[in-house]
Amino acid sequence: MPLPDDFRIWLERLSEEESFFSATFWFLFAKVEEPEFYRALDLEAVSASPVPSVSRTTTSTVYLRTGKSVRASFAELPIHRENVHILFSLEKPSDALRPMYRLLARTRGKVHLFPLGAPLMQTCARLVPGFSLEETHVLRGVSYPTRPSYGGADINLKPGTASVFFAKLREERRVLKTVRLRAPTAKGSFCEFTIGRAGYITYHRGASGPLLELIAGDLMKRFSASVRPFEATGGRFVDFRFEEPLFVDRANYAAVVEALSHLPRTSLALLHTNPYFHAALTNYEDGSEFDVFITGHSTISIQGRKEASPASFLRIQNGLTEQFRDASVVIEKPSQFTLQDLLDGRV
Amino acid sequence: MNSLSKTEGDIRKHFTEALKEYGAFDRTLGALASLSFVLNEVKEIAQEAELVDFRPKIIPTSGNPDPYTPDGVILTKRCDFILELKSSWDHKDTAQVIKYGRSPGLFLRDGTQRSFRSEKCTLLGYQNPPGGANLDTLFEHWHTNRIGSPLVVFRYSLESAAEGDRMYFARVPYVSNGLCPASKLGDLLNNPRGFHVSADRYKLHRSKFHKANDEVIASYAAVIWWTKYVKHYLSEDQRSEMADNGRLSRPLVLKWEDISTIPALADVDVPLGPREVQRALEFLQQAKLVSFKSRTGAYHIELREDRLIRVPGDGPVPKAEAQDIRTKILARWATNKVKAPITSGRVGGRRSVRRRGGDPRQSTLF
Repeated sequence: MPLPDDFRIWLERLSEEESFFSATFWFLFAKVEEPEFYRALDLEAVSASPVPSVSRTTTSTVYLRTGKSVRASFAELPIHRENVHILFSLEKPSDALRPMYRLLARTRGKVHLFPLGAPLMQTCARLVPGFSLEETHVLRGVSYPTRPSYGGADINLKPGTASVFFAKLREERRVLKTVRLRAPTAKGSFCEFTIGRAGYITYHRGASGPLLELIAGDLMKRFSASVRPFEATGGRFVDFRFEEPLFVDRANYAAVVEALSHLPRTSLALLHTNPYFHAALTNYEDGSEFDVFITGHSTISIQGRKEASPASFLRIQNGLTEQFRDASVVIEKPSQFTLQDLLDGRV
Repeated sequence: MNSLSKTEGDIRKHFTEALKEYGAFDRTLGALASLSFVLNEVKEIAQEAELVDFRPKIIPTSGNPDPYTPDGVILTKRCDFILELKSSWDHKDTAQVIKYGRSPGLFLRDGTQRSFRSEKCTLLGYQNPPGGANLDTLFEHWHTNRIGSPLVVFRYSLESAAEGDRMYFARVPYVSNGLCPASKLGDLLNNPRGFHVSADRYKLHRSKFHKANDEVIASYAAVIWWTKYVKHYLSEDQRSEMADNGRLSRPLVLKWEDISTIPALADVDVPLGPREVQRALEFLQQAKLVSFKSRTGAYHIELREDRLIRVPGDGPVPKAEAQDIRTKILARWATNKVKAPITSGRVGGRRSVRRRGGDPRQSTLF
C-alpha cells in the first residue's frame, strides 16, 4: 500500500521551508496484533495531527545525567506489511535515536528495529531503475573497521559516487553506520536522504516520490523476508555465515563475547572457549534463551530455545553485524549419517 | 607487599583451578552430547537402539535402598550397555563400576523394572585414562567379582584438527580390556582406530546436558543455574522489572523448602536436580551473589544482568576481560574464598537436600 499523495506533497513543502530538514522513517518489527503493538509503544489515537494520514502518535523522553532531556515524537504511518511497521518523526535522527531506543525498551522485546546492512543500503542508493549507481552521490558516509581490524570511526566527506563508495567499503571490510545520498529521480531532479544502519531512512530534500515508493514497497517486502528464517527455526541452528574466515584466530572470540555482552538486559555465560566456542545467552527483555556456537572459521551458529522470539534473533544479528560485517542467514538442515561415515571420519 | 602478592597469588590459583575444573566438566558433557548424537543420528545405531537414557536409575545389588545412577543406559536389540564417564582415575571407581556390572536391571520411567540381557557391557570412559597399575587393580577386582559381562575402558578427548574440533573416542589398548558384544554400537567402540564426532555435529545435542547423571561440579551448576534457570523463578512483576531495568529492586527469595521444586526446561534431557541447585546456590553464596538468611530459611538472590555485576577490583582477571557471567562468578568466588571466606557453618541451609535416586557411596567426578 503506497503512502497517500497528500503526505508526499506535505513532506516536500515542509522540506522547502526549512534549510536543514529531517523526516525519518523508522522500520519496526513486531509479531503482535495491532492493539498490543499500540499498547506496547503507547501509541495513542489523535483526532488531528500535523502529519497527514496519521491517526496515532507517541512521545518518548530520555532524561540525561546532565539534567537535560531529549524528547521525540513518533507517528504511526498507515502502511504495514506482515510484521513490519513504520513510525515517522521530524527530529534529526541523531536526536531521535535515544528516545526511540527508550521506546523500544518499554516494549520488553515485543518491538525491534530492522537493521539495515550495507547490501540493503546499496539497493536503496538506486531509487529509479533508469539511473545507475554511478549517478548517485554519497554526500557523507560514516563507517568503521570490522573485526579483526581495529581503529575508530572514519568519516568520509563527499567520497564521490555510490558505486566507488560501496566498492571501497567492501574492499576495506568496513561496517557502514550511516550514509547520506543524493540520488537522481528523473532528469534534473534528485532526492537527498540518509540511511542509518540502526534501522531508519531520513528524507532531507528533493523529489520524495521514488523514496516513498521504495519505503512502502520493496523495502518492506525485503524486511519482511529477512526475518522469516527466525520465525521458523523450530529448535534448529541459525547460521550467520561471514564471507571471510574470522575465527581462524581464536582471539576473535573476544569480539563475539563483546558483541553479545553489550546487548542490553542479557546474561552471557561462556561454557566453552577452547578450542571451539559455546556460550549460553539469556535475554531478560523477552525471556529468550540461546546457545551460541562457533565450530568453524566463518560461521556463528545460534540455537534458540522454544520461546526465542524473532525480534530477539534480530537483536543478536544486529549486535554481531555491528562488530563484524554483514552475514548471510541460513537455517541449518538436519542431516543423517551412517556407521560407515562415522568410521571413515566424515562425522 | 609480600602478603599482598601472596593473596593475589592465592586468588589467581583458585581461579585458575576452578576454570580448569569447569573446562574438564564441560568436556565430559561434550562427550555425552557426542554419544547422544551417535545414538540418535547415526542411522544403523539409532535403528538398533531400543532405549537410550542419560538419566537412568539401575537396580542396586541386595541391601542397597537407593538405585544407582550411571551416566547412561543403552538397550539395543542385541545387548545392553551401562555408561559411566570420568575425568580421571579415582580409587573409588573400581567399587562403583563393579556395582554397575552386578546390577540386575533398570527402573523404567513408568516405575516398572526391566532385567538386563545376558549380553551386557559396562563402558567406562576417561579423559585421562588410568595408568597400567590402576587398570590392573580395576580388572583384577572385576574378575574377582565374577562378573560375566565385559568391562570396556575407553578414553575420550577433545582435539583440534584441520577440519574442526572434535571429540575423539578410543578403546584403551590394555591387554585385559574387554570387548563390546556384537552390535553396531559395540562394533564402533571396538574399532581399533577409534572414532570421532565433530563439535559442529554434536552441538545440536550439547544443550540437552546440564550435568552428568550422577554429578555436577559446583561452579558449573552455579553458572548454568544463573544463566538458564533463575529467570523461571521470577514472578510476572519481577520479569517486567528485569526487562525494564536489568535488575531487581528487591532480591528474589527462594525458600529452603522450595529448592526441590525446579522449573522444567524444554529440550533438556539431563537437568539440574535439587542437590545440584543447592550446590549452585552455595557456590553463588560464596561468590556473594546470593545470601542465605537463616532466620527465614531462605536464599536471597540479588538478580542483575551481567553488566551490573562487578568483578572485585583486585580480582584474578582485569575488569575489561570479565565480560561474561562465568568469569565474573569464578572471579568473585576465588577472591572471596581468599579474602572474605564464608565459614562452613554459614554456607547454605540447615540440612542438605536429600539426594533422590542417587548413590551416596559413589565417587565424585573430580
